[in-house]
Amino acid sequence: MNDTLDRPLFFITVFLAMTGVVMIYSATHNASGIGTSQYMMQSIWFGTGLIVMYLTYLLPLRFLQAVTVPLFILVIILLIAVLAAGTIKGSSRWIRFGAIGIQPSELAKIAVILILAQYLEPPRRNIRRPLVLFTACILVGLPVALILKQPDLGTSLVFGAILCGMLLWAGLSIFELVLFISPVIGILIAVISGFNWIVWAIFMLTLFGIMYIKRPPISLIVALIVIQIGVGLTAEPLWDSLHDYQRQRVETFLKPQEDALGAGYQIIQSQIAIGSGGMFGRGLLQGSQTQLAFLPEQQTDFIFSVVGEELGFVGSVSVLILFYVLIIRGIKIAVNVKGSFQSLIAAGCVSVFSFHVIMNVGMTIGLLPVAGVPLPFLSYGGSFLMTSMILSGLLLNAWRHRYEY
Amino acid sequence: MPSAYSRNENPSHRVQGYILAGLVTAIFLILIGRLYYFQVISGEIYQAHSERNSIRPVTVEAPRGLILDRHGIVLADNRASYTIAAIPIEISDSTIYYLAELTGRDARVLRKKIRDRSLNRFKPLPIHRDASFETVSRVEEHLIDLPGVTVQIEPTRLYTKGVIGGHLLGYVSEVNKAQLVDLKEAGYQSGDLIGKTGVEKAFERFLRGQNGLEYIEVNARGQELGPLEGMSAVLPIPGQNVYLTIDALVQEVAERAIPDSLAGALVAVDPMNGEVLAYVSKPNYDPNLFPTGIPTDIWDAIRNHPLHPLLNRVANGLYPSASTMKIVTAAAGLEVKVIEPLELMQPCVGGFKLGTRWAKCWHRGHGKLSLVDAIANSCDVYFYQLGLRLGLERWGEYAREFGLGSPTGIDIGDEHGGLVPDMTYYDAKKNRAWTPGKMLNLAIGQGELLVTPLQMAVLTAAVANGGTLYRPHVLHEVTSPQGDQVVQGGESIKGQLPIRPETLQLLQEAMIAVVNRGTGARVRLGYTQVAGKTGTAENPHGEDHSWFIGYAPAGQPRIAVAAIIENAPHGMAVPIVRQVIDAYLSPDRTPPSVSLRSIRDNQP
Repeated sequence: MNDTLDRPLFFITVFLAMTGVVMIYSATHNASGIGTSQYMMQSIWFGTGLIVMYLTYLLPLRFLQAVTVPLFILVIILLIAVLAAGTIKGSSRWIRFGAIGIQPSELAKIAVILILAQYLEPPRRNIRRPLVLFTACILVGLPVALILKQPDLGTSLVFGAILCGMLLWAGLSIFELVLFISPVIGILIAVISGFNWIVWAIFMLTLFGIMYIKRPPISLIVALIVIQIGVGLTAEPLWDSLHDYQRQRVETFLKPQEDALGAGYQIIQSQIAIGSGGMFGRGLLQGSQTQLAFLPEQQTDFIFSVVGEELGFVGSVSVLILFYVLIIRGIKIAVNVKGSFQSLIAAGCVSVFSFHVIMNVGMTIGLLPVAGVPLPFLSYGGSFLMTSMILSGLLLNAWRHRYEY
Repeated sequence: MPSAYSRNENPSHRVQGYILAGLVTAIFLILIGRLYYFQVISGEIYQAHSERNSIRPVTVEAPRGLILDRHGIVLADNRASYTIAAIPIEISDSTIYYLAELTGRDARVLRKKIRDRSLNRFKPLPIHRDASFETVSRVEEHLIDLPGVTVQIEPTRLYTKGVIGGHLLGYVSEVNKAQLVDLKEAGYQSGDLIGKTGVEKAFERFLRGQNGLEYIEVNARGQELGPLEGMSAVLPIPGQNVYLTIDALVQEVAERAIPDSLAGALVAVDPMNGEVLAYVSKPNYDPNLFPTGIPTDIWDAIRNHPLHPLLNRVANGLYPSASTMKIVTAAAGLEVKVIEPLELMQPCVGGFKLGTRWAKCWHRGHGKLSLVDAIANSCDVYFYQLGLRLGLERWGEYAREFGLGSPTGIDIGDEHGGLVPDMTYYDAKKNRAWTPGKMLNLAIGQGELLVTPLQMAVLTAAVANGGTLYRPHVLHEVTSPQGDQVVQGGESIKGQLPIRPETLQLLQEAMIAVVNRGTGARVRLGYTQVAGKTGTAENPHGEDHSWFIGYAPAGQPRIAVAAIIENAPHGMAVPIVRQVIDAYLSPDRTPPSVSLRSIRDNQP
């Protein structure tokens, strides 16, 4: 047999997606009214996704490189179209082609990975040059700005993960990365701490400490200090100038426990569901939290709670291990393929999977804020399932072309 | 082309790969550790939580804002009531049948309501609002055998004066399915109360409070164990209080003055600013029937009542204005100068011959009359001649300038504009083609002309106050539950009557003459000069309708009234208006009626 197909990766993908269909069936089969056939929809998307994944796997390297820029432009146009349509009839993340609706923000994940890979590929690009960093930020920032307007904070954050992961893979060290994203961290710290200047001062001292140890170029230090002070001075007035509802949205995102009506309730229900699963779970279709639908969004963002309740510790850890193997395989591919382009693509795919799995599972077990980040392959939703399977396809594709460059 | 420089020979990748793999491993171990803690170590605690207890979010209903009159008398209040509710997901069919037995409801209807698939199945669905104490006791007693049934104490609307002001205040009732589709965004849920008509509907946005939320632990038998620790409840926010310009005393006097056996309407406004003082439609109904779900037999009785109590005759009742229209016809005649004030028309001999038609006057013969006398005695023959001189177009133009044929713009909305016919109207109606004879009818307010009592009140106010056509309003102010003013209602001018002061003065003189020596003598009051005009609308289907429009005191008007009594003896409306004016202006009244404007102006 040929060894062009990374069989573990392929079968893990298929197995996870099938698990998703089963869990969605369990979560929705007795819901009255809407949603009785959500598992059917998911099955259809899974079947289609399988074909698309295989086609992605077969794509010639040259074709992938050629399609990168047109795809990126197409995605930007679609995102603008969604916004324009949204201003006509309220917030929307969807664009419709006849009976098929797609979320351009999902397609954007693939487009951004490809264009960053293409842009960062040549070694003559010195990743430490401000212009290169700036361009990379623009390539990611453009779609993110459009998505944030939709508004979809969770999806926007994924792009941050893609950018960090791929910059790291393109040669930035972890310390440099920390410095690079320090203004964002600064804002988050300022908002979470309620503009407590002592907390902010500790953060700044830590930053200086890192710079003292790592000794980055003096120009970078100056730039960072200027940016940080700018952020420090403008964050509070900017925050105050936001509308109440905008502030509330951000605060709910950062401190969900205080939103007793929405996110806080979900977290408690999710924890009870997972906890009550015990070692072996209550069995498929047997979870009382799930079956009584105490858990909102259980077939989408909280599908892992259903796994936890009905399949128990054994089931949820099995799913986690499958994801773990998938991610480690991804890293292995990124390390071992010869071409930089494929390697960077693999790094991007790994970033997306890692971010989604960690954020989602962390959220369902109350470690991380509720950000509306779904679980790859398992969560109900056609666009995201398709995206996840294409990302798997891209990993498989990179492995297939591992000797090419 | 594969290029040499794109080789992935970055030696650090292997190292970075290990670092990343290590990082991912560490995070996954944390996740697994947390899962182990949740599911294995403390799994039993959560199992207990999940098996024995479930958490139920329970809506805490916010009380609606009060509706008060201009003096602060409460017209719509809240009272506590028991609501028996079922939680669709938890209640079994056998429990539904048992519950139906206990509450005396039709089991099949109840089951259909509870099993409605569009419901939020976790939210308690009110199935018996305002249950009697006996029913509640019976249910409470058997609650252990009724899993999925709860009894809640909720605020319910209480219209303190019963039938008084029913059409004005409107009523609240459960939001219906069709409305829910549009109102989901605004936070309405099935079972919520919403203003359906009148003030309740128009000022829903102020009156509605924000419901709170409480998390209750419930055991498997559906018994509530109390609020969940660690989850803070969201307190309900009461609605805002709405102060009306209505004078409760005047409203009450007017509603009682019109006998319950008759249909009719009466509107009183403050001519100086358009504040509505009374808004009466008869027969009336008790709005208290609606918030708790109206029993079918009562609903059928109201709906099938021959006089249609639910019809709001103030703003939706369409009538010919009859002789009250002579004020408008006279104004038009003076303004376009087809008559002189003192000019005498051809004598009234009990009728008027136009071609082959003999148009009768209501009286057997008034003789030769000038304008003021013609109005005072309501002579039809005089106005037939004046109508012919004016013609349809000029007459219609003035009728519209007096506010007829279009809605008054009252702030509670829901009104008809009436009809001032023009040539286009007659051209469109082939079987009612225009003939000069029609002008005779229109000039005395009969024929195709249709007005609402509200329009006539606004018109009367405009004549009384010197020519300003106000948009009538019932909203005085909105205050927060703490008493701070949130919104101030206010006067708004719709237009000015296009007539000269001397014409207006003549109209006012004529209306005084109507009272002092003409057809409106029965409105006279000892302590103040009333001005007015009577009318008798011909009703081809039965007895005539009696109109009266009037205001007082002449010169410094404080109240303008329009009233119509259907199928009533000639002049029936006149003494009713007298009672209403007396209720407002009487020097014996304690406390005396006050103008809101002066209250407002004296406030710091």
